[in-house]
Amino acid sequence: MVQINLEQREITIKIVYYGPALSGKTTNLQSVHQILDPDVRGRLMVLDTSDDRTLFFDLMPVYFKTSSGFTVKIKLFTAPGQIMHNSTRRIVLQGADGVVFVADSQKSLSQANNDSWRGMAANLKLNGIDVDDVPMVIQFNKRDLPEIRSDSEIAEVAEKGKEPVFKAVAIRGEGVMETLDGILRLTWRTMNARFGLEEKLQIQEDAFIKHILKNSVMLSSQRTLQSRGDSQ
Amino acid sequence: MSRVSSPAEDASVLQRRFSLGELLDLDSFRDVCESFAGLFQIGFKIFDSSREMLVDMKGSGSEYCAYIFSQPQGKIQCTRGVGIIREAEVNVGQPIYHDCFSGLRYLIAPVTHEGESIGKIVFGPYLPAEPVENPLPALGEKFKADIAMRLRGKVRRVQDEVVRKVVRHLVQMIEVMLYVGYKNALTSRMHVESVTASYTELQTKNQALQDSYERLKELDRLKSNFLATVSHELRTPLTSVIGYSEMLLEGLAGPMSDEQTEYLHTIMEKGDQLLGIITSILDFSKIEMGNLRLNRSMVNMIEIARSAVTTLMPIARKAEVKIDFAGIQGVPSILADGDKIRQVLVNLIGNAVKFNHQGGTVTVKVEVCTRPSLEVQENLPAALARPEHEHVCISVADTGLGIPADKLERVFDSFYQVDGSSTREHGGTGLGLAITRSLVEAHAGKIEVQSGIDRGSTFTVLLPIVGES
Repeated sequence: MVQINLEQREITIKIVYYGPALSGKTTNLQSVHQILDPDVRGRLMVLDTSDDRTLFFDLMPVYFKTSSGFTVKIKLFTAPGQIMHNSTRRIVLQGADGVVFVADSQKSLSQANNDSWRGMAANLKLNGIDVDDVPMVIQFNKRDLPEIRSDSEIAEVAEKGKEPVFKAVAIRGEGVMETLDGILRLTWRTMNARFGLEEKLQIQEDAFIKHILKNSVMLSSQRTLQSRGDSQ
Repeated sequence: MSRVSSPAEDASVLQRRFSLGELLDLDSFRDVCESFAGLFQIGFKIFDSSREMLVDMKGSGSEYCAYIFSQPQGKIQCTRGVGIIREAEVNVGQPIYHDCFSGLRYLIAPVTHEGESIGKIVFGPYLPAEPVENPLPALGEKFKADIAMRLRGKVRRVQDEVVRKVVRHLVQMIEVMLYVGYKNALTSRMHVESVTASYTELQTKNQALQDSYERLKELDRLKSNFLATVSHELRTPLTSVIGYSEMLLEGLAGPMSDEQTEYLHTIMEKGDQLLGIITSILDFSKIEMGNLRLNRSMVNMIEIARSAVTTLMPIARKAEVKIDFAGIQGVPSILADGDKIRQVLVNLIGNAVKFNHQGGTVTVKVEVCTRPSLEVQENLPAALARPEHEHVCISVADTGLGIPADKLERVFDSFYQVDGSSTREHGGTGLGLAITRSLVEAHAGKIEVQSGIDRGSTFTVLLPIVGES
C-alpha cells in the first residue's frame, strides 16, 4: 500500500512484477536497471539461488525529489515464479500499488500463464486486494522466440481485457521501459484519484513520469495508454 | 487496495524502514572506522537520522581540541559548536563545511540509502590548507597561545578537495555495507516470514483435512447404522417369504402341481441367495461398528476345513470345478470361533469356485507353517521385532483368471470388485473378502494373497497357535 508520510514529505509506491516461472520478471528488472539513469535508481538487489532462480524477490528502488521537496520512492519488486514459493509470492504482493503481469508468449506456456494469473488473484485476495481494483498491465515477453502467440492473437486479447498489454523482449531491453511507463502512469492515475497526489505533491502525471524515465522511453507507450486512459 | 499507511502498521519486512544502526554490524564497522581514521589521521563521527551518535573516532586534532575544551570559554563555544553540527541538516549530494571557532574545519556529508539520507558523517576536525595563516581564538587570560600553537601544529593540514574525496570514498564504503546489511536483513526476515506463512497455510490445510476426516468418519458410522437397520428390516420379511415357501413345498397348504413346485424352488433358491447377501451386509456392519463377538473354543482346523469343502461340493460340481482337500497330520487344535472360521473358508472356497474355469481345480490345504510373528512389537528394529513363529496355515488355491497386480491390494476393501463394470460376469456385494479379513484379524491372524494373470490365486489364512491356557 502506498505510504504517504506528510511529516517527512515522502511517498513510497510499490510495484510488483508477477508471472509464471521463467517468464522474465528478473530480466525485466535487470534491463530497467541498465536503462534507467543511475541518479534515479539504487542497486538492483537479486536474491537468487545458485542456478539463478529467484529465491525471495528482486528489488530495485527508484527515487527522485519533486520541486516542492517531496521524496518519491518507487520500489520495483519481482515475485518468485517457482510453484513452491507461493507463500513468498503472497508476502511480496502485500500492499502492491501496481502489478506488472509478465506472461510468457510461448503457446506451450499459455496454461502456466493462466495458472499464475489465478494464483495471483487468489494471493491478492488473501492480502485484501481485489484483482479488479489494483492497477495492472500485462506484458507478453519473449516475442523473439518461435511458436509464440501471434501479434493478432495478443491484439485480440488486449481488446477484450481492461489491462493495457505490452509486448517485450526483456533480454534485449525491448518493451521493458514501455511496460514500466504503462504501470507507473496507471498507478499514478489510480492513486491520484484516491489520494489527490497531484495536489499533495504539486506534480502532474507527465512530470512524475519524466522524473523517473527521463528520455529512456519511446513515445509509443504513452500513445497506447492515452488512448486507453479515457476509458479508465 | 492502496491506502495511506504509516510504516509502523506494515506487517512485512518489505515495507519496513531500517535505521543506520540496524543495517550495520556496529562492532565490525567501528573496527573499519578506526583503521580509516588511523590511515588519514583525521577523526570523524557518524550520526543516524535521529541524531544518535554511532561512531566517534579520534584523529590528530584531539589534543588541540582537548586543550581548547579545558578553557572555560572554549568549553562554552565548543559545546555550542557540537550542537550545531549535531543538528545540521544535510541534503543528499550536498555536503557542507562547518568552520569551528578554533580555526579547524569539518566536512558534513549525508549517508544515503535508497536515495534518502539515513545519517551523516561529520569528518574532522582538520586544519584547512587555506588560509595558511589561521589566527588562534581569544579564550581569556589563562589560554596559552604557545601551547595551543604547538598542539595545533599536530593537527593534519589538508586541502578541502582532498577531504571531499576521502569522505566520498568513506560514504561509498558505508553505502556498500548498508546495501549488504539491508540484503541480509531482508533475506533472513523474509525467510522467517515465508516459513511462518507456509506453516500457517499447512496448519489451515491440516485442520480442514482433519475436519473432513471427522465428517467422513461420522458419515461412515451413519452408513454402517443404516446398513444394519436396513438389513435387519429386509431380513424379517424375507424369512417369512422363505418360511411360507417351505411350508407350501411341504404340502401344508395342499398338493402342488409340478410347475408350481418348480416355481417355488426358484423362489426358495433366490430367497436364500438374497438372505446370504443381507446376512453379509449385516455381518459387515456389525464388524464396522465393532460389535463382532467371537465364541472361542478349541477347534480342529482340518475338520472345519473339511466341513466347508463339503458344503461347497454341490456348487463346485455344478460349476464343473474339482476340489482337492489335503489336511496335513499334526495340525494342532487352536482356540478360535469355529463358525466364524468356517464362514471364512466357505467364503474363500466359494470365491475360488466362482472365479475358476470350467474343469479347473480348487486346492484346500491345512498345515503348520513358520512365519514371522504377527504381533506388533514396538521400540525394536524391524529385523529384530518379528521372530519366526509356527502358525496354522489354511490355503485355498484356484486355477482361475487371477487378479492383476495393481488390483491385488484392494481386493480386501469393502464393496470393491476387480471387475467393477455394470456388465460384470460374477455377482455379489463385494463384501465377502472384507468380512473374511475382519474375521481373520479378529482372531489375531492374517490373510495373504498371491496371484497373477492366468496363474490363478492363492489365499492363505494364517492363525496363531493359541491354546486354552
